[in-house]
Amino acid sequence: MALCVGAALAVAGCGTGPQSIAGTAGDPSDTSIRAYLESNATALASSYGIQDPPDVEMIRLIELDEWADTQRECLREAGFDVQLTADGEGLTYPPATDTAVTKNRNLAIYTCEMKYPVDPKYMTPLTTVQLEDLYQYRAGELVACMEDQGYTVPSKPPSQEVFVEDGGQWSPYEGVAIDDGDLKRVIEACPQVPADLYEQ
Amino acid sequence: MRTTRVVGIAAAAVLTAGLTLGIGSAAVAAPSFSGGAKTCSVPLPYVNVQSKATGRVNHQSGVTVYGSWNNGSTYQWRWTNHGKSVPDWKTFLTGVGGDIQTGTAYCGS
Repeated sequence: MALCVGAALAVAGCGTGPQSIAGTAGDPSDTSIRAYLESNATALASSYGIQDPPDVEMIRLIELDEWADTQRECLREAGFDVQLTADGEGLTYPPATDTAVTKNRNLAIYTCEMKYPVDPKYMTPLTTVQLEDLYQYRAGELVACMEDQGYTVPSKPPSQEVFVEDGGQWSPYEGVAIDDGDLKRVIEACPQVPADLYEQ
Repeated sequence: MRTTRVVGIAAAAVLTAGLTLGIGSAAVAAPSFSGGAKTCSVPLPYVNVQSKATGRVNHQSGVTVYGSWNNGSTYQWRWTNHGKSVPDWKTFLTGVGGDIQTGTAYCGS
């Protein structure tokens, strides 16, 4: 069943969209997903200054690594020329000097985020086990990878205990400046997050 | 020089060139980091903005959003090249949750 999230964060009265969506990941009737979507709606509307956010029907939950491409496609369909950042993992928007353009763009961002929200598993604070795995990856494989790419890692890793206590902040990327032209290659070769971190 | 790969080295080079490392860098959590006008010149001609954050983080100068990412719940570093001169810059979060620990502007190549 499709879920709409609107200004009042109410499900009722949200339109007549499809009752089932092939390929939908996540059940929007699930209480925790509903709460997540409502929190998202409130926070995004606040961030983008949307006073009266529309009801938006969730199409599907997306994987984190789908975010940039999915948002770009959705925003382009809405008429906004959005590009990928140099690292290929983010979005860059054209300058918006006109207030009306900015308002419409922000509304489109809100709508696309609500249509294709990131699966909440990616937004939940990491568990101790995940942080320990992240530490092993960053202090070992990732350091070696960056050195193989020709970068000097300027800071030594903290102890695993410190890393876990501060929520996994340390990275061999800390203090490293990377040219635009190298970003995509380096990030693809040496991902900041191991592929299986959220599969636990 | 094609690439200055370490910010510490970049900072030294920038200072040598009579420029300053961007303000706003700090190691405390805040909803955003920002700074005023910044101009870079050869040999490090471009204003680069760097952040370390979880959640949905953005880099902006003036009216242009140079980068917007969803880092999920893992701290990640992000970089954007803003050209030779900016009227201001900021790194900030949007959406639900997230934490931003660092926002810095520096001159790079």
